[in-house]
Amino acid sequence: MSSEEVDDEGGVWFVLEKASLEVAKVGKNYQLLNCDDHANFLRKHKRDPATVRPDIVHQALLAILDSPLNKAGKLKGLYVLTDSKVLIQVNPHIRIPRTFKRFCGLMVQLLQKLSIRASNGPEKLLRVVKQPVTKHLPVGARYVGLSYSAPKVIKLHDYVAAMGLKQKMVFVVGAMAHGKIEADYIEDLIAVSEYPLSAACCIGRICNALEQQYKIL
Amino acid sequence: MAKTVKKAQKGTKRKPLAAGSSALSVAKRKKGVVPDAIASGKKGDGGSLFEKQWTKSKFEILGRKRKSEGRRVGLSRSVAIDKRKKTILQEFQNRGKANVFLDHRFGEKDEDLAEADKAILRFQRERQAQWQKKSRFTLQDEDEETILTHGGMALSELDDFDDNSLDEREEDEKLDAELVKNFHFGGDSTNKSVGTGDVDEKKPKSKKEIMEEIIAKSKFYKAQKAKEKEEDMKLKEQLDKDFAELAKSQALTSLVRLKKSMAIKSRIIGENNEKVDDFDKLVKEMGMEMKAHASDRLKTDEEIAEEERAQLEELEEKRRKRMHGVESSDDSGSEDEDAKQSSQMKKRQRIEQSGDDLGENFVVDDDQPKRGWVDEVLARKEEEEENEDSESEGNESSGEEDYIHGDSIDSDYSGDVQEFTESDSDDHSDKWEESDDEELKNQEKAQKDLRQVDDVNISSMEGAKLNHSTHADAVVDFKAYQNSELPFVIDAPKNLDEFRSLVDGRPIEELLTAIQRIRMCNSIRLAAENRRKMQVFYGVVLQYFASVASGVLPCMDKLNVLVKPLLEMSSETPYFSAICAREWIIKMREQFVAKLKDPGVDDLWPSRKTLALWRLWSLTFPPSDFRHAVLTPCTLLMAEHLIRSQVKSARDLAIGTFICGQLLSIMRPARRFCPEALSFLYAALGSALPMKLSMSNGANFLGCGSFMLELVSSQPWLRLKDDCSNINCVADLEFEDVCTAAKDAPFFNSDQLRLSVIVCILGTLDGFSRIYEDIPSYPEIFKPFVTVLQGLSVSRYFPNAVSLLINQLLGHLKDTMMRTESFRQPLQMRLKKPVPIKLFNPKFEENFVRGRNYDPDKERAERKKLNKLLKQEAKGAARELRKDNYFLQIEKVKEKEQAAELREEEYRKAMNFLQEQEAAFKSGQLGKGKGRRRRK
Repeated sequence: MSSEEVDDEGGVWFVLEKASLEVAKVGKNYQLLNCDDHANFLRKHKRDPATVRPDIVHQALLAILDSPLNKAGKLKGLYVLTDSKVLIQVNPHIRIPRTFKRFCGLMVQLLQKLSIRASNGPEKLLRVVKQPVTKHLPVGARYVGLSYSAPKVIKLHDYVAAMGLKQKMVFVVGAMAHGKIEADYIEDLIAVSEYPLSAACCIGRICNALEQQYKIL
Repeated sequence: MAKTVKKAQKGTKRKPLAAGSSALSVAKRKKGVVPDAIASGKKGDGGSLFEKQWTKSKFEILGRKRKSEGRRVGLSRSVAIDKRKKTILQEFQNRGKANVFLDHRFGEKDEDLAEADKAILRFQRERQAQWQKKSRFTLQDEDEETILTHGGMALSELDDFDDNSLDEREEDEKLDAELVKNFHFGGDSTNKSVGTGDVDEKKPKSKKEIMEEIIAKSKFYKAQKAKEKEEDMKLKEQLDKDFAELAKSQALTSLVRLKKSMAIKSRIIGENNEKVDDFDKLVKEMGMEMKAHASDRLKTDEEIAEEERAQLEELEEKRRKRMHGVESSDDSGSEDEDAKQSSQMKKRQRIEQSGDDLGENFVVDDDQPKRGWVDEVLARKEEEEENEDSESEGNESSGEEDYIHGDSIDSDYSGDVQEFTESDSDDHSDKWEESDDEELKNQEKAQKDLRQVDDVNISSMEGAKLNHSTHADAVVDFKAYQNSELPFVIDAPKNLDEFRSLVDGRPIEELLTAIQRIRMCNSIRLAAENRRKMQVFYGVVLQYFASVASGVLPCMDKLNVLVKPLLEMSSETPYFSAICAREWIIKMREQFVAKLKDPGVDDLWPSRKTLALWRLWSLTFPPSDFRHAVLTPCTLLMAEHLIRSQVKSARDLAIGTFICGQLLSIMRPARRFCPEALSFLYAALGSALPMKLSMSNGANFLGCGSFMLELVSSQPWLRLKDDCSNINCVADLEFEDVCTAAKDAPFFNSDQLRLSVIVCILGTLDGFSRIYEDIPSYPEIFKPFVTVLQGLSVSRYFPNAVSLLINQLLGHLKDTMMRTESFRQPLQMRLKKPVPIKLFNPKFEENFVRGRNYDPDKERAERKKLNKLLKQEAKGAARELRKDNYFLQIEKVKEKEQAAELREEEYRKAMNFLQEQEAAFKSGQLGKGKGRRRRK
C-alpha cells in the first residue's frame, strides 16, 4: 500500500463551518432544531426556518466518514463549528447514525453532555472542545476554503497533485444552506466547480481527488 | 458592578444593627439614591435590579425558561431574616428564662389608644365573638326564648284532652270552622273524633276484591257465549237436515231450475262422502314414500381381498365339478358372462404381459378362457377405469405401450448399451405392436375355436407359430402338462422344491399366473401370518429366479416374467428383500475372495446368476440413494470384480463391458463417479488398438495404473484380425449369447464379436461422458480416452458405422473438454484486502433528558440518586445552620453593644456627677446654679 510510507507526513483534516446544530426546548424535551419539524416553533421565536438545516451536516459527515479516504486512515481530524460557535471534535472512527432521526438524538445528547463515548470502545467519539479551531489543527498545514464565490475555479486533481503527498491539508467546507464561510485562518479560497455544490457533493469531490492522489481504491 | 452594589447593600443593612442611629440615616439616604439610579436602566417588573440575581448563560437555548433568572435575592434574604427573628431570636432571648408572660388583652399593647377607645374595642370584639359561627347554635338565656303557638295559644298551654276550647265560638261560623278544622292543616286533632260518624260504610274496595269481581264476570260471559254457540250449531244442523229432506222430496225441484237442483243434489251427496283431492293424494303418497337410504360404504382393501379370495374359491369349486364331469345347469347360461369376461380379460392380459414381457413375447393362448376368470377379478378395477375413460382403446393401448417401452428398456437383460437400446427398442416396439395385434386376433380365434371345435392344440399351435420367438421346450412343456390345470387356490410354497413341483414344466404364462394366485390367496392384507408366508415365498421366488438364471439353458423370458412379481413383492416386504439381497451379496463377496486366493481358479468373472441378480437389485432398490444397504455394497462388489478379475478372453471383456453398463445405469441418476468402470473401459479400448500403437508397445498412455493394463489388455483381445470395413451392420451384443455359449466357442474369437464389444464400450463410454459433463475434472478424466480413440480412428479395419461412432464420440469428448477448460481460471496469488479502520458506534439515548440516569443497573442508579439527594440536603442544612449562626452572632454583638452602651451611659453619668462634685468642691460652692452664678 502506497499510503504506508507517507503515513507520518500526509493527512487530511476537515472543518465544517457554520453548521446549524442547535438544541431547543420544544414542548417538554430538548430537540435538535430542524426546518421540517420545527418551522412553527422557529417562526414563533422569530427565526428563519430556511437557515436551520442540520441535515446538511448529517450528509456531509456521512460523506466524509464513509469515504475510502477515511477507511484507509488518511482522515486525521474532523471538526464541526456550529452557528452558535460550539466547536465539536469528531473522531474519524465514529460510525455516524444512518438515519437523520438518530443523528438528531446523538447531537442533542452531545450538546447537552458535551461528549459522546463509544458503545464498543474506550474512546470519546464526539466532544465539545475549546475554540479556536486552529488550536487543534496541525502546524504547517495548508488551509483551503471551499466556496462557490471564490475567485478561481480549479481542477481539484491538479490542485491536490501540486501539493504533493506529504502536504497536510485542511479543507474548510461550509455546512450551511446559504451564505459564505467566514474563517480568517483560510489561506486559499477555491471553487471546485462552476456550479454551486452541496456540502456532501463538494466533500465527495475532495475525497475522490485525494483518494486518487493517495491511490486508494 | 452588580456585585459591588450588593456588597454595599449588605453593608448598609448590617450597619444600623452595628452602629447606632447615626449610621441609619446614611443607609436611608443610600436606599433612596441607588434604586433611582438603576430604575432608569430597567423598569417594569418591579423591584430593583440590584435586588435580583443574575447568572450569565453562555448559549441561549430557545424555548427554555430559567428559574434563576430575576430572582430577588434581597427580598428573599430579608424574608429569611424576619423568619429568624420570629423563631430563633425569640428562643435566643428567652434562653435564660423558665417561663414567659403572654398578655392577650385587647389593645393592651397599644399605648396610643385612649381608655375609652380601648373599651369600645373590647365591646366590638365581644359582639363579634357572639355572632361567630361557633356561637350561633348555643342555647340562649331563658328570657329571650321564642314560643311556638297554635291558634294564638302557646303549644305548651294546649291540652290534648281539652275538647271545649272551640265551642264557645259563634254558631254561623261553626260550619266553616268545622271544615277548616277537619281539613286544613290535616285537621284538628282535638275535634276529629266528633265529626266522623258513618264513613266506614263507603269504604273503597280493596284491589284484590276488584280483581276477583272482574274474573268472575269474564267467566260468566265466556260461559254465556259458549252456550249461545252451541245453540246456533244445533239450529244449523236442524236446518241442514230439513233442507236435505226438502231437496230429496220433489217440492224443491219443482220450484227451482233443473241445473241448480242437480248442483244442490250433488253437493249434498259430496258432503256425505269425502271428496278426494289431488293434493291430498299427493300428500298421502309422499308420506308413504320410501326415504332415501344410505348407500353401501366403500370397501376396504382387506374386504376386497377377502371377496377376491371367496370368488376364487368358488371358481375352484366349479372347476373341480367340471373336472369330475358334474355339469352345472348354469354353465351354458354363463356363456354371455364368459364372453364379457373374456373381453375384459383380453385387456387385462395385454397389460400384464406387456408389463413383464421384454420384447420377446411368448404367448400360449390355450388357457385364455380359464385364466380370464381369474383375471377378471384383477381386471375389474382397470376395467372400470377404462370404461370411465371415453378414449378409444387404440389411444390408450398406445399410451400404455409407451410406458411399457420405458420399462422394457430399463429391464433389458441383453447387456446392450443404451445407445443401441434406443434403436433396439424401436425395433422392439414394432415387433411388439405386431405381436400384440396378432395376439389379440389369436385370442379371439382361440376362443372361437374353443367354443366350436373344442380342439385346444390346434389353436395353441397357431398362436405359437405366429409369435416370432417361440421356444421349443415351452411347446413341449405345454404339450406335456396341458391336462393338469393350475388350481385356483394355492397355498404359498415353503421352499424351492415345493414351488418347483408346482411350476416346473408349465409354460411361462402359467408360471406368472401361479405366482399371482399365490400372492392373491396369501395376501398380506388378509391375515397377519401371511406376511411371514409371503416373505418365505419371496425368498423362494428369488431362489427360483437365481436357479433359472444359472440353469443350463437360461430362459430369458422366464427371467423377464419373474421380474415384475419380484419387484412387487419386494415392495410389499421391503425389509426382508433387502436382508435377502445383503446376505446374498455377502456370500458372493466371500466366494469371490476365496476364488482370488485360490490360484487354481481360472475364471474370476461373475456367473450368469450373479449378473442377473445384480440387475434385479439395481431395479429393485433406488440407485440414487447416497448410501443404500443393498446397492452400495452391490456396486462396490461389481467394481471390485472389474478391477480384480483378469481378462483371459474376449468373452471376459464382454462380461466386463456388461458390468460397466450396469454400473452406468446405477450411477446415472445421482451422477456418481465410478473410476473402476472408466479404467476398465480404457484398458478394454486399449486392447483394440492396432499393432503399432498398442500400449504394451511402450507408448506412454496416461490414465490408469499399469496393473489395470496388465489385467485387461495383456493381449490385444479386441484387435481386429481382418479388414471389416465392408461389414454393414454390427450386431448387438446379446447377453444370452455371451453367457450361454461355451467359453472356447469360436464365436468368441470372431471379429463380429469384437466389433460388437467395441460398439458396446463406445456406447457405455458415451454414457459416462455425458453424466460427468459437469465435473470440473472432466478433461483429466477423459483425456486418456481421447488418445486411445484417436489411435482407433486411424485404423481402417473398422466398418463405416463404427468409425463414425468413434469420431462422433471423439468430437464430443474434445468439445466438452474444451468447454470445461475454458471455464478454468489461472492460478493466482490470493489478494490481500486492505484492512479498514475500526469503526465504533456512539453510545447515546434516543430521547435524552438531562439529569436522568441512564445506568442499566437500576439499583445502582437509585443509589446514586439517593446519594445525590442526601448530599444536597446535607449541604442545605449546613447552609441554614451557618446562616443561623451568623444571625445569632449579629444578635449577640448587638446585645453586647447595647450592654456596653448602657454601661457607658452609666459611667458617663457617674463621671458627670463626680466631676460636678469635684468642681463644686474645688470652687467651694455646692449645687449647680449657685456655683455658676457665683462664678459669673
